[in-house]
Amino acid sequence: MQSGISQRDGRDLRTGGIDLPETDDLVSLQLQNEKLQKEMKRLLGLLAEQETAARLLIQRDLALSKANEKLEKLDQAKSEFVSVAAHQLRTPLSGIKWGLDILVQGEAGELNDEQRNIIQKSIESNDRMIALVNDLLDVDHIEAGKDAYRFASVDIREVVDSVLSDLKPKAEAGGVMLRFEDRFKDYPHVWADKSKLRAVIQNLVENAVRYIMNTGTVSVRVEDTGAEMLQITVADDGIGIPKEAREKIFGKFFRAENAVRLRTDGSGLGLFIASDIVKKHGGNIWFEEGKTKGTSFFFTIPKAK
Amino acid sequence: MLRAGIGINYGDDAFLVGVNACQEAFLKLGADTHAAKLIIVFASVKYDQEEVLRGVRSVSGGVPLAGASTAGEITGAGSSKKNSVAVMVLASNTVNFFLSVAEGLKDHSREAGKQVADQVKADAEKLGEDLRFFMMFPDGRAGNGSEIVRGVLDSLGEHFPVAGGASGDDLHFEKTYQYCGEKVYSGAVVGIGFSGEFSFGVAVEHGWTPIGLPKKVTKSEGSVLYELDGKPAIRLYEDYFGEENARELKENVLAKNAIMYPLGVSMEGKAHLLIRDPLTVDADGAITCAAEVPEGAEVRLMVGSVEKAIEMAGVAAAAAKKNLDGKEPRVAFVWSGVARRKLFGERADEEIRTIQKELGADVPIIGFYTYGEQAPMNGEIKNQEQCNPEFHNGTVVICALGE
Repeated sequence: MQSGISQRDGRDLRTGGIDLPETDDLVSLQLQNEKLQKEMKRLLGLLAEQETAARLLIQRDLALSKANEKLEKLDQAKSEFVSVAAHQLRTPLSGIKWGLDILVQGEAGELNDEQRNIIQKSIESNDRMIALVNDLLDVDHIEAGKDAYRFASVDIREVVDSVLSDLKPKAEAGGVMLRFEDRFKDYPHVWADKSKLRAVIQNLVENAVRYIMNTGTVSVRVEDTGAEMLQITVADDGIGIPKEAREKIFGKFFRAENAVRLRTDGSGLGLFIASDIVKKHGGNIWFEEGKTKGTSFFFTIPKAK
Repeated sequence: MLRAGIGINYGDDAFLVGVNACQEAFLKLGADTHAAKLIIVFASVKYDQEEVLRGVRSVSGGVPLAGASTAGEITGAGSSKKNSVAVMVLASNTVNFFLSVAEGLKDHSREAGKQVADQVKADAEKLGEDLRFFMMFPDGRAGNGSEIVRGVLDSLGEHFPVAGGASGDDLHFEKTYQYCGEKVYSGAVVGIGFSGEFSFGVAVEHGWTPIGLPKKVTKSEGSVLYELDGKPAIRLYEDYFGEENARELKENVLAKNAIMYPLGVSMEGKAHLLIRDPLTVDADGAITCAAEVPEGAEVRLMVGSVEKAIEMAGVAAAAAKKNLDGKEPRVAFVWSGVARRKLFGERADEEIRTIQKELGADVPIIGFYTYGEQAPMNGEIKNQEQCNPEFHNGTVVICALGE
């Protein structure tokens, strides 16, 4: 290769292809160098920021998980307390019921109307308390995994009929009609624990009645959706569920704000128990709000094969 | 033909538990009993190990047996809540199995790894069979797991497909056992070579991602990590956690926060990260991990969650199945790191359910919670050049056999 021959881009081959800078270039190199140093500084700063962010993130997570553990322990302690209290309450409540029943039947001496009236009211209050304690014990069983299920082929119509006829007198006295739509259609049997399935339907109907303030109707509908499940609907034209309550409604001890204000009774455990039962059957439970008023609860339960 | 039957049993009498688990496995196998070729036993250390094997042997005839003690047995029924014995009977007239064992892991990990593979290879060659896959159960408390894997590869070739799980002892971290033939070993590695007609898919996943900057391992020895960037290793945790939170790592073996934030180690010149679970921390701040952390490697803190870890088990199962090239999975082995079980707690079954769902409800599953998993990086077995078996922590390894 001859000397003095340049490549097409003008670089001199005598310098091995390396461009030796002119003075102007040296200045520009220095500028470049300063730029690079600045950039490096910026990047290092970014890395340091990232490290700090990582540290903050981890420490926040650790604090959260510590707080969670504490909450879990508290929740456990609360559950244990409730369980013990419920067990302890059951015996004296039965005792009170026994005593009041004897009194109201006049077995301990004749009562005048006023006395009978007072005792009757006491019996009702006591019954409500017993129902609450029973709900608490149910929850305790669910949480301890002691709720045994006995599955069999069950006639859903029979269960709905029996619930409605039990609840009818009280509901109608309060101005609420109970209706079983399409009662005479043929429904396939479901695969369920009969008494537990009954508890779900009873709970939904009682709830519906409770949230109708004056007069209204609660209707139960059974639908064969064609798939592997039957769908049961309990619809009311009551006060509805406030927006802020909708996410928590299947939780434990939950009572909607309007329910508390309106002094309806109830333990706040019914829907928790119902949803647990439905899930253990392999079904689903949910609700929809009516356009103007009322609420519909739906649940599915597998058909018997 | 490739079929498997699996049995699991609990109780107080080790011999009887062995008998019952094995009988159930044969019962599940049904009509294919005559073709039984391999028995695999995974058992809790709660039981007298020799008695368990005696029980199994009393009803298994002379079928070759391999297995290990565990940190929890796994079957399709989920993660065993009680201390159990799980037995699998594998029947086939198209697959051949070659068993061997090598002792002395504590002082000669690599040699023992080579020895067990050499023996398996020699036995296969004697019958004119080509080995296609190697399964191993090394002691999870003795020796250096990474070195054992290297020893196996010294014998079978750098890119030979290997999978398995290191034996455990129900989180006592004292002594673990391996089974081969009639005998119970400790400090040994059991190997099973597979030859014949079958397809297999291996996958390994964890679900942790790195956070923060990498630190260089400036001093380590085997699985003891002394210094990172010239400072005591525990500083890494103290730095990110705060000293108060990092104290838990010094007080408990395999502490909760060590499980949630394990170390990710990248070997020099390699891009992938291997998970390392910190087991203990000494007074000088050195961290003993559940596997090797070599000098020169880079270490990063990893973050994860129960949900992600479970999700990745499903990803692993789907990948293992896909690797079967359209063949049906007939049996699947699951090795899940012990830290995962501790992390999942009562949700451990979710991992198994996720795996079962991906593989198919009828595929028999057996496995255990390990003190270390072995599998090629990324479960790569197709592209032989990329098949690089490693010793892992914190992963779930799934190995599906199909035809």
